Amino acid sequence: MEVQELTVEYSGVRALDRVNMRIEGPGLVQVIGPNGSGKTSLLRAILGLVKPSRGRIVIEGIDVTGSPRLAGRMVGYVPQRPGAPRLSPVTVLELVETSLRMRGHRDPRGLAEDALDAAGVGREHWGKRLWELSGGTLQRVFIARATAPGPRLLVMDEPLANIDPGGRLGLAKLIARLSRDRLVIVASHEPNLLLPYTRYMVLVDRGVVAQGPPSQVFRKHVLERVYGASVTRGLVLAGEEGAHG
Amino acid sequence: MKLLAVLGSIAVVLAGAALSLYPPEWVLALAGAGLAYGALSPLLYARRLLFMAGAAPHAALAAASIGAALGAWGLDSVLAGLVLGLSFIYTAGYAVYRGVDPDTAASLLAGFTASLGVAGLYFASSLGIQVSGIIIGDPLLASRLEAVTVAVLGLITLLILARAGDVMAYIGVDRDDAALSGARVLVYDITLYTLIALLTVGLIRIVGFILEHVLLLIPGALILPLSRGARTSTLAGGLVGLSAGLGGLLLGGAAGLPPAAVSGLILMAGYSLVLLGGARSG
Repeated sequence: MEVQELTVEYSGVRALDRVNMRIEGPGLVQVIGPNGSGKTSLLRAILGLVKPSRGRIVIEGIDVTGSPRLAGRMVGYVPQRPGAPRLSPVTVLELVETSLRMRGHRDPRGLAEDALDAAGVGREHWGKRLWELSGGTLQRVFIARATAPGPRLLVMDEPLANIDPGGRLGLAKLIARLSRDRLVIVASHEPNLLLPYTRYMVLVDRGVVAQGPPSQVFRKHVLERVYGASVTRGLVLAGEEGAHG
Repeated sequence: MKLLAVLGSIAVVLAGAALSLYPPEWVLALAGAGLAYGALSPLLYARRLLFMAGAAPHAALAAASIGAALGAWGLDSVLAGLVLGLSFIYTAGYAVYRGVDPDTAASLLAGFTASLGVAGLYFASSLGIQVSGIIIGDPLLASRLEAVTVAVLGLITLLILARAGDVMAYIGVDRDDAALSGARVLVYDITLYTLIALLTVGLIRIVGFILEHVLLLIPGALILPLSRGARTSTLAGGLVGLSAGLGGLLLGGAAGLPPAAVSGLILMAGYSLVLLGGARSG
């Protein structure tokens, strides 16, 4: 996956400026940065959901810039804070099955069931409506939906946000497992939980501030360039696994 | 499936009773209107378009009243009303498609068309046009052609939503992933907004402006706590709407009340029963 000179603007305000990165899978990539730093804009541009004012996105040799239809053939997506309107009749199995059918799969039921099993969504939940699920289970359902078509690239926008601590640990392990045989790009502003599994990190603040292995990026003097004093107060570096340096 | 079997049985019994007591035009008009509104209603919840459903009858009132006034100048009043109503609702729908919050777009639509509706009613009245039919509606005045048209509209609505309702509901859950999947989100949106416009503008003389709100909103609230899956909800909503329409004809006829009003009361009674029954309503 290659990002070339990517510049994203909203109503003339620059959200990302000349981002360049080239990442090969499999493995887990964390995109970190404070709120409003452009993490979501970067992910949405990769997915073709945002048309950049400049630059392009190439996935497996195909230019998918500004084309969700093209990107969607290769990329699975887990949105930030997934959910469904109250009383929406869409059930767990129906969500995954409909997603597969829209993508032209011939056996959506079988694939959907396999994906839900693999994501650890118990069968007792399959007939439930989405708004009846807990945050952790809902996140697993959306991960199942994203992985069901078998994409080689998975994009997740803050998948551990708003999940209770126990659920976060389980989800982190699931994300780590998924990254063994595909490229998984995760936006996060709580990077510690996924740190032991992370192969590559991108620190953004309206552009790429640093990128490379966590041992190079997740260091106090690098993070201070973006987070300032909050690093020294331990807001970024605190975590089960600590930081590099 | 059990839910659909029960609702289907009730609908068949009511249709038989209504056909044995009343002219087929009345039965077709009420069954068709109930079917159409009932099938659409659950999807309005799935798409967070409840404000829009509340605003659409205002757009229909403005369109129908101005259309009626234009009719006095030689234009086809129904056609003029449909064109105006579609324009209002497409504009609001386009705003939502472009990222405006659905509730904000609906509020603007309601504010604009409510004002326009009052002006339209005044304008039409000053030309000597009877406007009470638009406000309170009267399905019993429907001609045979109108009754058949309403019934066909009901069936078409049900078929479209039974076929595409799952994707439309999916868009309500995750519009971005629908675009990633290759679904033509804009086409589905246009279809949905066209249905809303056609049912509110096209049927306003049958059910009236006031009851359109009830018929659009209550079937979904009644059926969604009991049903799972977009297709099941569409079919169940359609059967509930149809039964309420026919029940309104039968009970209204017995009590000497307007059928559309009794249909609304039946739906409210059903909704109250569901609430009392403790079905999980979110």
